[in-house]
Amino acid sequence: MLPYIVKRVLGMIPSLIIISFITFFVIQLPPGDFVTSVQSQVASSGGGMDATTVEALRVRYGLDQPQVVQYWRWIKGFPTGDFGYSLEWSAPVWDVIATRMGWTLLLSGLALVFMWVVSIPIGVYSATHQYSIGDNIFSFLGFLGLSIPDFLLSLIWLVVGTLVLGIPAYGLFSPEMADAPWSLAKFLDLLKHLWAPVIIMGIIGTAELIRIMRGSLLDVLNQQYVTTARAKGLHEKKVIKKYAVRMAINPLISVLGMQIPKMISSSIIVGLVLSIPTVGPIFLRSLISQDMYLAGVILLFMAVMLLVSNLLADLVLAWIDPRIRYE
Amino acid sequence: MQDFKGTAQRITDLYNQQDLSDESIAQQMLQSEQTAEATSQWRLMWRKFKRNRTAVIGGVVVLLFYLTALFGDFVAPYSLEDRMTQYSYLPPQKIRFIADGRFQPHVYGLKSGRDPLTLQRTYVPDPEHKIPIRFFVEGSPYKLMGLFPTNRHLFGVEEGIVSILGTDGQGRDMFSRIIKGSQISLTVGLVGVALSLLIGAVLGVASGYYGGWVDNLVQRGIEIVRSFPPIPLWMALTAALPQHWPPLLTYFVITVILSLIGWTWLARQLRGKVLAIREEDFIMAARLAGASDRWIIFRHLIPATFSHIVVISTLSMPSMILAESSLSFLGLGIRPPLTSWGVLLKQAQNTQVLLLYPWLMIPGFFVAISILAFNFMGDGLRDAADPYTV
Amino acid sequence: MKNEEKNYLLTIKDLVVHFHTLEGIVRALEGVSLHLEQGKTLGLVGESGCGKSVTAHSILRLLPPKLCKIKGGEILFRQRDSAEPIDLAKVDPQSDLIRSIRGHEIAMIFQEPMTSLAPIYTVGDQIMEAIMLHRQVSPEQARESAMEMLKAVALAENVVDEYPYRLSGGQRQRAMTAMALSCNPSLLIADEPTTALDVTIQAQILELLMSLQKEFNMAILMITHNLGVIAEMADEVAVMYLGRVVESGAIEQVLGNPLHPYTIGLLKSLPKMGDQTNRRLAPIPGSVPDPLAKVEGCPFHLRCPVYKQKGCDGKELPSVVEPEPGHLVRCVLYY
Ligand SMILES: Nc1ncnc2c1ncn2[C@@H]1O[C@H](COP(=O)(O)OP(=O)(O)OP(=O)(O)O)[C@@H](O)[C@H]1O
Ligand SMILES: [Mg+2]
Repeated sequence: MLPYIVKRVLGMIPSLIIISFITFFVIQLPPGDFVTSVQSQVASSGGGMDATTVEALRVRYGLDQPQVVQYWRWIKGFPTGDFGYSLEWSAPVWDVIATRMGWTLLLSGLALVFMWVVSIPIGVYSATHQYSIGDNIFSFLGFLGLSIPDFLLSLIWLVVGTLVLGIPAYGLFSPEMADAPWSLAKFLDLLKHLWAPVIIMGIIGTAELIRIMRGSLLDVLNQQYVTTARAKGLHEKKVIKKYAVRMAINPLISVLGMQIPKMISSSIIVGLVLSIPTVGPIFLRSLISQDMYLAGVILLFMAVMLLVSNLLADLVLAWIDPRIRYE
Repeated sequence: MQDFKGTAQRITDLYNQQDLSDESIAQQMLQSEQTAEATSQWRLMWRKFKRNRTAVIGGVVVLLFYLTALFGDFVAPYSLEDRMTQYSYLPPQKIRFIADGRFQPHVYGLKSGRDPLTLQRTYVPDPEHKIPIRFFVEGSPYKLMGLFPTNRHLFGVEEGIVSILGTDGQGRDMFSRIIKGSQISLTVGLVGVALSLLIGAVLGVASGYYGGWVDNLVQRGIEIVRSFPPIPLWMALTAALPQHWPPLLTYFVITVILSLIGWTWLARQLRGKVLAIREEDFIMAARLAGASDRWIIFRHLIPATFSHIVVISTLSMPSMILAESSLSFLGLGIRPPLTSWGVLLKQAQNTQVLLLYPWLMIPGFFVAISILAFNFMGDGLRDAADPYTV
Repeated sequence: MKNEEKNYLLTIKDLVVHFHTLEGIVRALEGVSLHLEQGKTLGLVGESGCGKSVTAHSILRLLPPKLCKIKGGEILFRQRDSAEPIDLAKVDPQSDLIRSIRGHEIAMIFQEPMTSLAPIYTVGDQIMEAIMLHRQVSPEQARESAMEMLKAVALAENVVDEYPYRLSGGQRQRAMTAMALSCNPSLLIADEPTTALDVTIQAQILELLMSLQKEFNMAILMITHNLGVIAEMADEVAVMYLGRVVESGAIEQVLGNPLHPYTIGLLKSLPKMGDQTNRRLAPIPGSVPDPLAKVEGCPFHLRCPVYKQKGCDGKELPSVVEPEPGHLVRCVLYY
């Protein structure tokens, strides 16, 4: 197992380098740079900047250097935790995003848990009761879940929560709690605000996982070894649990790597609509204001998250499936 | 005792007589089976698809959406930029069908005033003032399907306003704008899928068929593209489009950007199919007979994967539509004056506005319904194309 | 049938099994009757799709309960320490009773050795599970007997800790056999145990089965479409066509003196040893009808040379006759 892990982790390094290249390239794409965007802002508010100020700003931010140099300056600090400087916020990138990353990870993690906890039992039920009324209802709900975009769900929740249920449906804390020190009351307040965005973020994934679980279990139930297990005299429940479900779960794990990016995308939109401090809103802002290091780090962070979750999925698969482990 | 043995012997003799003719019979049967198989594949698929009720409903809805988009200017009572400022933020109107005991669709006229506290405009329907809805009325001029100049609209009113889905802050009819928006939202999907298909089919078929380094290269490329979560990457790419570009150019570039990521999935799926088909007898036979690669690809591989291409394209429509609306919703996609469902939804992004005028999120439901319809249809097509399901 | 008083281990009478699929009803079994004595081997032959596997799975009630219904007939099985046979056709397929019989008194080996063991558990785990289910033993003892069984099927003891995917097809089939025999069943159902293996391995597995049969004194229901295998192993044979047994009897009777046109055709298609003429095998012309179609009258008449020569009218279902003692055939020509 250990050599396998080492191999996989080392194998990530080239990918990381390529990803950082591409990220830098994409972030550089917009015509002009941060200074131009500051310039146009100043201009739109009636002011003007003379050429020397502009140049001075460029030099100060290192924007006058060749791209390769800029890339190297940016990337070389990463191993020491220096992710560059946010031009717009006038603060190290890390300070700007640290807590937001935390919330993003927390929300995504909870959404992931929600997805699994809900989808596995439903998937198992649907597969073992194929074409029953319950199965049909779940299938239909699944299609619905797949089809309602997260922004629409957030908007609906905002309207329904606020206008119909009369609870504040946005933010992470009630206004009076936002600045209070941590306490049980504040924690409960957080939970009250957290569950809806978590479900909204998890719903599409849940619908997908239910379908995958159902299909996979139906496949497995047709496998010879399930019949073998029955022919031994095992109880049906045990056959399902120990043989069928255990094998059917593999595809669920392998799509984990595909769920994470969706979760990230969702956290951007849900964060924006429901005013939750995920990295989403500042990512959008940094893209528009061309705050390139900030945008770059966030994009890179999302790609790394995807890479790591793929790795984790593979490791879990290897751990539960001997065929992969011993390859 | 002996007589049953005699019977058995007679049967054996009968078998021996048959031996000669067997071969030709078998041959005939094989041939008729093969031709039957080739012609009936599509019909079989259609038959299976028809049996799936939800898939058919999905297909009908998709068709309706595209027809409406095609005749959008006709179906919409107002044009995209018709501003009726005296009716800003008008809630959806109720259509009533019976007037004076007979069938006459109408809406009530409106008395507007201001809320003394919030100073918002309020509208009070006036039951005394019935405004009949007329069909094929004259309205703002347009060119039907971009060709035939006319000013007839499917329905409309001669005085006041008919706005079944309400209006926005500038008094523009949401229903008309949604219909017009569908032209963009639904074609982004179509064009995006077509482009992805082009890239994906070429690369997918090539990497599946040739294998080796071609396959390797394509697979690495796919891996790299896929190492980014799509929405953030799309955001970064579309944010890079210069503000001063004309909207139509932005529109095309956005579809290109969408398909730059979308093709990977298509290519993967097709590669798998091609790998499976490549080993099948008829391809082998063609190869042994000395057919060129191009011949095999165009005469055998593409036709054989065609049903899968249809299925895969249908199934990737939802993600295209979703991506466009998400990007436009975030303000990074289609730019006004072009309008898509996502662009329309952008005004609902403001919490305060949304809570006051919740009907502004209606375009989102159109996104959802179109995605649902495509999902149902695609699912039905997939089942129908799969020879192993009943 | 006169032999009813005999103490058969397994007696199947007029078993009718239908599948209710979305396409329609598949009449898999339309009245199957067979019997098997303690310690003997019954061969069940017939073309693909004639219902051999369905018969086998019915005995253990392994068929999907929602899809598949036993419409009639009896499956009488004599349990080890009871005088009266029980009718497995009437037992609830989820009941404790049938589960105590599965793997314990009736065990089964399947056609596909590559997939019949679960890939994620070791061979030992899977055998021990069967042992501990039916015998009151500690895990250590179970492991002991699992290793013993593996030795009995000529596998190395350390296979106990191997995962199935590391074994070859032949080894897997041996492991599967070890598992089936681990609780000393009185009846072993072998559903084409060698079809997926190459010829030398086939012979080894068959020999293994025969020697184990002697050792454990069990009955074997041997399903195959290989008449050669039957000739070598079986004491009795039943030939199935379209969900019915069309001919049955002692091995010498059926193979040496086939009566039913189908059996005759089947035997003719068998390559003869020492046949140098290189003559094309003569399979029975035509193919098995669509399983959804219901064939009226004699099930075989569409392919029967006698019917084609107007030797019979094929309109009615022939009843079973017994031209010589113990040799049963379902054909009007022997009335
Ligand atoms: N799960 C099922 N659903 C529907 N029909 C089935 C099912 N299982 C078997 N059948 C039908 O029952 C009939 C008998 O099948 P069975 O598997 O017993 O054939 P067989 O004699 O074992 O053939 P083979 O030699 O190929 O194993 C076939 O027509 C088959 O189509
Ligand atoms: Mg079978």
